[in-house]
Amino acid sequence: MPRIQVRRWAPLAVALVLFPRVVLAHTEKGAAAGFTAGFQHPLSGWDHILAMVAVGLWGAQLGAPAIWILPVTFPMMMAFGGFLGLVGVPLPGVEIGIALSAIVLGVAVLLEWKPKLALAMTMVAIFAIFHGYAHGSELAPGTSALAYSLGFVVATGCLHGIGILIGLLHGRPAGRAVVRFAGAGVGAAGAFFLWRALSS
Amino acid sequence: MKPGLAHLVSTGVGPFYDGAAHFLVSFEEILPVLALSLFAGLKGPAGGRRLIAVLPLAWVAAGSAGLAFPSAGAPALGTTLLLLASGALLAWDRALTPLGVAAAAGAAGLWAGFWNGRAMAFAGAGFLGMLGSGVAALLVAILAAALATAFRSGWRRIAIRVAGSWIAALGILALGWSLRG
Repeated sequence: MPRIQVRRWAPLAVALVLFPRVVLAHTEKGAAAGFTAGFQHPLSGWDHILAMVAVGLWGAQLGAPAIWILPVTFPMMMAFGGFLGLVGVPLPGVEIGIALSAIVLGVAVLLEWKPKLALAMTMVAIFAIFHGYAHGSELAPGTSALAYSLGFVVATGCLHGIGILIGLLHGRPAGRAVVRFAGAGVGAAGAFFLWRALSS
Repeated sequence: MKPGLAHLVSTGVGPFYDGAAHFLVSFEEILPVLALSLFAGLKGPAGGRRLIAVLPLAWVAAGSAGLAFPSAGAPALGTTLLLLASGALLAWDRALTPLGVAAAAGAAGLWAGFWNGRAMAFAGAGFLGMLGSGVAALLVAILAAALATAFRSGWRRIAIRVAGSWIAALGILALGWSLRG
């Protein structure tokens, strides 16, 4: 009985402890604004949104352990990309890399491509660096860098989660087609992003 | 990146609660404790108990020493590395004996507590403020370790490790901010 009680109430207890962040938000304006700005950043462009959702879709298609390894790899390497941007390491072709990520991930989902885990991880890692480089180093004046970064990482994780949830439809006959269709959409959008990147 | 403890949350009910509130709203303080506590919980009840015993004690002991050296906040690089290391440890989920968990918790508690004590002295909150932070750290550690102990299997363990990767990613970005200045 006590074990059941812990399982039931532990998440609520943790949430309540962390809740004062909301209550006291007015005392940490920089932090609150930073988190909001960071959270909104990955949602500010369809190239990022689609690629990150596609990581989740692909992970779900590949199954365990890729379903969680890919979404773990992406934020870590995205952060590394952001780190490179912050310390001023030049990275050419960022927009092209982002567009290619949408194309490759979308096509992988469409074709239900199942490479070895190491290859899938490497691909996701490389793409993540471009995404992090593009958006990890932009900070509005007066906001908290740490809060901004946290919002940025959490939003990215949420996008992967959405992709995984959609990708779990893969286990159903009709859902499988839906997931592949979503992959086709991501790939097509990636082609548009590439065209835009090359023509600008 | 600015030092994390440059200012103190004012609750209006005294320095003890100011210190506790500051801990709860400071990412650079709460996240390493959260990550280490979740990690300890994943190692089982023995690991969780060691952390709960060691981390707050180390925090308060080092914080008491830090009170003698007022400072605006911890060096950003050290804070960042603690964030990165604690997140990576949780994401990695490496097998560790309860003694190893206690050592990690002690090291983190000493570091964070010492700088918290310095910052509390600088902000005028003194021992009570530092004690409030330590008690808040204890509460978070108990809750997080209990949560992870209950969620040691299946997808919930994976979700906890994913949270660790997020904290590690945050540490990498924060490292970039601190190096950029």
